Amino acid sequence: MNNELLGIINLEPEQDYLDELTYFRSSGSVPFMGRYRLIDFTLTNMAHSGVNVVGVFAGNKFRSLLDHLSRKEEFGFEGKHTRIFVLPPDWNDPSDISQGDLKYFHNHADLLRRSKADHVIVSGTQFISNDNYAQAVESHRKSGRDITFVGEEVSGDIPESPVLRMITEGEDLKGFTHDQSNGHLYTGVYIIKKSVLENIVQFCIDNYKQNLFHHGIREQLENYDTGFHNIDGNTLYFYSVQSYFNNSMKLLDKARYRDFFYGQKRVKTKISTNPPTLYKNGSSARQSVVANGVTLEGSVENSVLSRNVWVGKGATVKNSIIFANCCIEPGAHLENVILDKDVRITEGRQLMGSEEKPYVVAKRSTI
Amino acid sequence: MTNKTVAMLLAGGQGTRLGELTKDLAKPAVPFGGKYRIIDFTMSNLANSGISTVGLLVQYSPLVLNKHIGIGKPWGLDRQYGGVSVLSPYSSREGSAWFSGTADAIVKNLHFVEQYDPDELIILSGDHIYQMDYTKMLDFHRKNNADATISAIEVPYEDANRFGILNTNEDFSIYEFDEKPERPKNNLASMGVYIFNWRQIRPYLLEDEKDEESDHDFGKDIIPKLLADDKRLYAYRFDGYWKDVGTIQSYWEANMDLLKEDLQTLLMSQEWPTYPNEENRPPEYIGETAEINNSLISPGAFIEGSIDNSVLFVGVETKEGTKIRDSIIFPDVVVGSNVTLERVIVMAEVEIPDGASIIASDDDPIVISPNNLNDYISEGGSQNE
Repeated sequence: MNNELLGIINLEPEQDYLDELTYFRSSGSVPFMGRYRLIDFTLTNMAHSGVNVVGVFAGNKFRSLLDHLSRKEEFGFEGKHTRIFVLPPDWNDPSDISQGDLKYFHNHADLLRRSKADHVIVSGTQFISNDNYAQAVESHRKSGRDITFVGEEVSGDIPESPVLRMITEGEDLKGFTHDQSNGHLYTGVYIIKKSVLENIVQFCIDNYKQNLFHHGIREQLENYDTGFHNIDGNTLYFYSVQSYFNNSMKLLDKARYRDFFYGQKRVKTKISTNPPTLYKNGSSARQSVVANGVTLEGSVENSVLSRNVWVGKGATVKNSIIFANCCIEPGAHLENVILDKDVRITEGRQLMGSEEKPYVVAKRSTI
Repeated sequence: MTNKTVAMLLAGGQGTRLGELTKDLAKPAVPFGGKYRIIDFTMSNLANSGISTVGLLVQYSPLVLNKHIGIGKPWGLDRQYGGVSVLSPYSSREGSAWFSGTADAIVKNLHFVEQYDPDELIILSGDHIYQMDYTKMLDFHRKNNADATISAIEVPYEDANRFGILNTNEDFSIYEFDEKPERPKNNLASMGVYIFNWRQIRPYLLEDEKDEESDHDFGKDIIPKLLADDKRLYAYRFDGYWKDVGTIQSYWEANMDLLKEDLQTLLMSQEWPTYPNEENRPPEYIGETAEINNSLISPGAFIEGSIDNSVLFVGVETKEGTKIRDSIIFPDVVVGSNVTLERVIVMAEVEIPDGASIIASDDDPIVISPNNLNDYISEGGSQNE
């Protein structure tokens, strides 16, 4: 027995799901709330849950991810015995017959082989929370089960979404469903005995399976001793541009923002240097989250501004999400818009999406 | 080759005239400009100038300063060769002693400098706000084949009596160093930045150390001796912003300068960035009732109420109905609702209760610390003692 815990962040199954926002970047490196990227939440939560080594199955568009994760200490992976391995698609084994995300488990098998941990926590980045998995890990260890799935019990109105639901019996997990009336949401996170995970990987490869979770775990549940643990705290699920937009808007509620970002175990991200935000004479900002390096001369309301954004005189930004380095020239008007990085909105231009369907402007465009 | 240059950064001063601000803190470590400390300007100048061997001389209340500098990572000074070394007073077989002057501090760390066998020694202060390319000054020093080069800035003649004035010939060679002259002949003030030819200066330092009459100060003792011996001394004229934040008034002014349109490059420059030791804090939250004008706001802040012409540090919270004007608010201060603050400096983690009103009179700004908060609240503001 030892206390080590291996983390795997598997981005392979969640590629491209945010349309324009994931055309040129991996799901984990999608910017969120001004200075973060989605993977920050998963990584920080893992660090706070006792994970010392993390492997990130990076998917194809891993350039921004490599840059973002280049200094592990900034994410709370401190000390001599911690690592963040970003594992790109790197297939060299001529006898390899693995498919889908099994390719990562097969070709990066050293990650599991070399780890001294007895348990592995596996997650994607489509679910984030300000609660960490420490209690789930503890309950998993105590129970002696093969797999513990991390869930959340929603009371009251159950939101319609493609998020999987859990079918439970007492303390056992019996299956998964898309039944929209089931309020027991599955976060996509599970904690599994390393030896069991290794067996499942082998089973999947031997049987030409393509998705470890769906084919190796979900379809084979009866072969394993499975339980669940419900987490508290604020949770957000990402499955579409719309959900991304709504989640950002939800966090513009002051109490929720404070709760999400100001706990003891604060989310960490890559440290980069920008001057404090400059609010010039005649600017106005209301109910917004503003990152450093922003220069504000116009008006911003109910919006998220990332680093180094410039909002010119008389420009208005409303219900919008502006990624880093965007330039909004004087007199422009934006409403229900998402601007990807390095976008330039020229003088007097008006762009409006709707609350149900925000208008997304792709990276580096000039409009 | 900048590798042949060793920088010695003097950061041990007490900064007595900064009062409460330096009560438990070395002056270079005093917070500045929202997310910086004063020394970050000099550290960033070193980083941007590519000078990578730095001795940091500490003495007065160095805890926070030491932690802040660490191994120099924010400034790229965590090096295998050189990098930043924190040099504190120490004891040895010969005994133990504090640094008793700027020159003495160098002599007591001779062994540090000699490890690198430098051509030039550059002496810097950790308590000035300026952006300067030291390589240009080094070029000037080498071109003149100088023994010492002193950087200087033009000051108004009426202020010249507060500075060490360099009297120069047309080619900027120095014929006289006039410390705080009553009748200044020139208005070129020493900025306390010196470049010395190391082999030339070394014997002077050792000799001065033996002189019991000496204050062991570069300006007062070493420079006059070099001049007396007809060494080649030059003044390097610096054009740009430079501020010695020696008093509460000048500290306050220097922060307010950051809000001036023409001085915003002090923080905003992409070519000459100023690097803080950045914390991992979330972006600031601007609330429904916020009205912000000409102000700097830093990460982790929660802002309500009206903020005018002020500098707010990381983690500051202000509540509804509060009015803050011409003020500097240090990290993690909580300002309650319906508070009025004008021309004040609020020290870290102070909590200003609802309804309080503290307005400084026309003279010095007020520094509010946990010790004097209640006095000021009952008075509604008064002079700094």
